[in-house]
Amino acid sequence: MKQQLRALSCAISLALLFLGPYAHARGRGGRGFSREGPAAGGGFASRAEGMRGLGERGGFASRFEGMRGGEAGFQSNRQQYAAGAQASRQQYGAQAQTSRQQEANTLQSSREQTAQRMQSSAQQYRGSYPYGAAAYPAWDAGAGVAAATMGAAIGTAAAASSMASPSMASPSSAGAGYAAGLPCASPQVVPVGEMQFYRCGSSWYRQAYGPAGPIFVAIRRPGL
Amino acid sequence: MEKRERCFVCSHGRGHRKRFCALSLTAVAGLALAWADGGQAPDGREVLMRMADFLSKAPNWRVTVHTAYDALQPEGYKVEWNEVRTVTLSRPDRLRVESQRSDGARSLVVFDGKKITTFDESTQVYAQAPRPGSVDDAVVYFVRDLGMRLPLAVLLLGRLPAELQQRVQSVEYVEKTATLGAPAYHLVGKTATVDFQLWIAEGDRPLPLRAVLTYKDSPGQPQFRAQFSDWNLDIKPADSLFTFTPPAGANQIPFAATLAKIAPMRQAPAVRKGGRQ
Repeated sequence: MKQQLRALSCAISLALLFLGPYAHARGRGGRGFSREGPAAGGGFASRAEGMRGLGERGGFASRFEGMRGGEAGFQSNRQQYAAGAQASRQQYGAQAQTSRQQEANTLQSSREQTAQRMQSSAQQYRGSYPYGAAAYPAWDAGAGVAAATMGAAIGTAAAASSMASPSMASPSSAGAGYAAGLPCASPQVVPVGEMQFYRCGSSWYRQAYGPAGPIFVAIRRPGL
Repeated sequence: MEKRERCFVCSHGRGHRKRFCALSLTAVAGLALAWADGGQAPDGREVLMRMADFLSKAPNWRVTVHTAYDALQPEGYKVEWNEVRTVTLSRPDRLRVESQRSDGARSLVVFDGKKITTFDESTQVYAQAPRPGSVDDAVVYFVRDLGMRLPLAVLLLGRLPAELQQRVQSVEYVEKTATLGAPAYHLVGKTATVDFQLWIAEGDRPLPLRAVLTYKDSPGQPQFRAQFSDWNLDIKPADSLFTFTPPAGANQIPFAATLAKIAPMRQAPAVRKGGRQ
């Protein structure tokens, strides 16, 4: 009987030994490795492209203001895309033309025919492109890294379960404005209607769905 | 001298002549095959656009996608994160994406033609936004306006051909390969900021089988890799598959992008001393 108990306790200890770290690591990326980065979004364009395009038009800030400002902001954002992407399209068109000329110099006439076919095909597709320049460049650039640009998001929801741990992660490891948890050990949970707010001292936070999952976002005091 | 040269082959008898003819024929056949192979090498852009056309016009499909991407850490490590997604699409206005991360976390994105919802199973929270329209509208809204992550979102669009025509600066055919379970064309191409490789199935169903995206302007040039499997274009998904019913106890939260946020609040603002406040 004693032997059986000993074996059972050994088995439980071993199970805890193996499962403990897994449970701890779940959702938190092990010891805090970041899941964010330009490749996380899996887009056919990266933030650099969007930034470059918008930077030329001075529109980067307005993009995120647009996100805060709702539909009116989106509309103005789309107009800026449209204005800037015209130049971008011309640039790409010129590049493509140069490239086609080089090809024509070196390849056979069949290649030239192919190039002509592709050109007409491109015109055909562009002709049926309902969003015109509005969705270009890079409507999918930056997805997955947007969290890093959301300066007020301060923690992941997975960290909510570890609210007792007030330790702040290195800003460089988690992006600007991020922490491993809410910045206080015992946040006051304040229900307002159907919503829940979290209060740490004079700061207020709200759980929201970020690019890759639930996060906490610093907000103004409810009612303001 | 002339006679000797002319008769060099003849002078070695019938056996030699036959061997010479056989060798010549083999050489000619080899050259012809090589020429034919080179001549029939498909145009990379045509292969790409055939895939785009086919996928964008397919009314219903489901695919499993194993993805991996690099995330460069401040310490210099490059960590690969893995996910498995099952994507079900029914044009024009139904989409469901089930995801499981390598750490087990599961999530869901559902679009029913009227609203788009994302649900996190581990925390039992979901966010929902009204978006009547097509899958194209919903996907662009979800990714661009709500800032949400939806890898390879461009492949979901009905206007995929136009998107690729807009973005792809160059694309080349690399080779034909059979390493992915079916004969596939391997392509390599460039957009302004992303280098990509695609493997597209040969035949009358030119579906993507593998994709590798390299973010060449980003530090460490991280990659996103995707392997597509179990393509099914013959599904007839029920409407209920695209309807999100919150589980009991699940809480609705807003999309972070829609919140009126304030500046980062790492520290309380310093209290000014002296003067009027």
